[in-house]
Amino acid sequence: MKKLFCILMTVMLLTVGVSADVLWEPYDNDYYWKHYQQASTVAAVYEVPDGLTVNVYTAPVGGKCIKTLEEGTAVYVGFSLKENGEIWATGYPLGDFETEGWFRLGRLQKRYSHEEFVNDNADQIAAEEGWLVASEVGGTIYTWTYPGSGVSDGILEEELLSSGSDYNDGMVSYGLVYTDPDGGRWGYIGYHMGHVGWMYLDDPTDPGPALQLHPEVVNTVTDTAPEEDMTTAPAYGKVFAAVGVVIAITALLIVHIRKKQR
Amino acid sequence: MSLLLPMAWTLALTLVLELVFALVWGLRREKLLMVLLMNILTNPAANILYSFMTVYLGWSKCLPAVVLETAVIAVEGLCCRGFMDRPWSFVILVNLFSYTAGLLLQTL
Repeated sequence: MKKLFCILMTVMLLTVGVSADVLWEPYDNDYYWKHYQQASTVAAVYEVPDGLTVNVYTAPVGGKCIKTLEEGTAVYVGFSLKENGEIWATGYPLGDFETEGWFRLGRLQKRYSHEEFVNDNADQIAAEEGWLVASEVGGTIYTWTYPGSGVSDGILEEELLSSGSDYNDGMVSYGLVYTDPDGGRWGYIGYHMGHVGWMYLDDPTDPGPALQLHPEVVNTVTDTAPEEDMTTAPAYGKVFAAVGVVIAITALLIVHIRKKQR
Repeated sequence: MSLLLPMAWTLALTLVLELVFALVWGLRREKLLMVLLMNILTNPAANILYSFMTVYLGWSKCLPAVVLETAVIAVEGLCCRGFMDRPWSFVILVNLFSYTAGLLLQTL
């Protein structure tokens, strides 16, 4: 009966949990999954500033350096947390998913993005819903990180937009409209087939709208000291030695108990 | 030092869980002591090796978890063999219990 109870206790404790989130998360990073509840969402693009390099580690504690990112490298930062008084973040260099890992967030400069643009230009932005009918646009639609950035972060292919099986009945919807200093109108796409960004409503197929904005960027770099290729790992040798001593003593005790029992 | 504290905590939690299980299983005195010692023998070693492989080397955690848990069960089974009734059933179930209980506690 007692053994049946033990078996039932074990079976009852078998839990399976699956959660899904649209935000990127490290695929297989043990440190992240042990500390994700302490992590804050960042979900922004940063860059390695001029004159600096940034090391990517497998973990903020006990990890090893897997790559050094050179100046100008764009990095997607997913989450951050504090470890030993420092802010560490996890993410990957844009276009290089294989190099996901942890890095010191204070060594990166946050790119001016959609969020900053909306905050800085709130007076010129109106909540206005609308849509473009893809078949009437007659071309590829370009999306931009923000109006005037000059950085196109995606395109909506004409063939996909015009096909019968297109998402959202062939309509590209927007929810915000920005009026630029020249009177041009830009619509913000919250989501369309994986794309998020701004499109130039006056001519969505223009690959290079004339508007150019050079907003002031808030400095986010706080750590400019040379970063040595220094592993964050503790002295594994000493830890292994200590565990070895524990194993030896315990093994002797076990042998002693077994001999005594005989 | 930053690794020793989590290891000590993991060992303490494992000991509590497995000793409770052992008591319900019906083990007493020397047999309970054996459960205590076999966990001290295997738990720190398994944890430090797991940490080294997954955190430091960045390996995927599935294979190290399976290999190390199997090794733990094998070593603990050998410790209990000839020392108690149904040693392998006990070792497999007690490790399954403490592993799943640990997973559950992590989600809380």
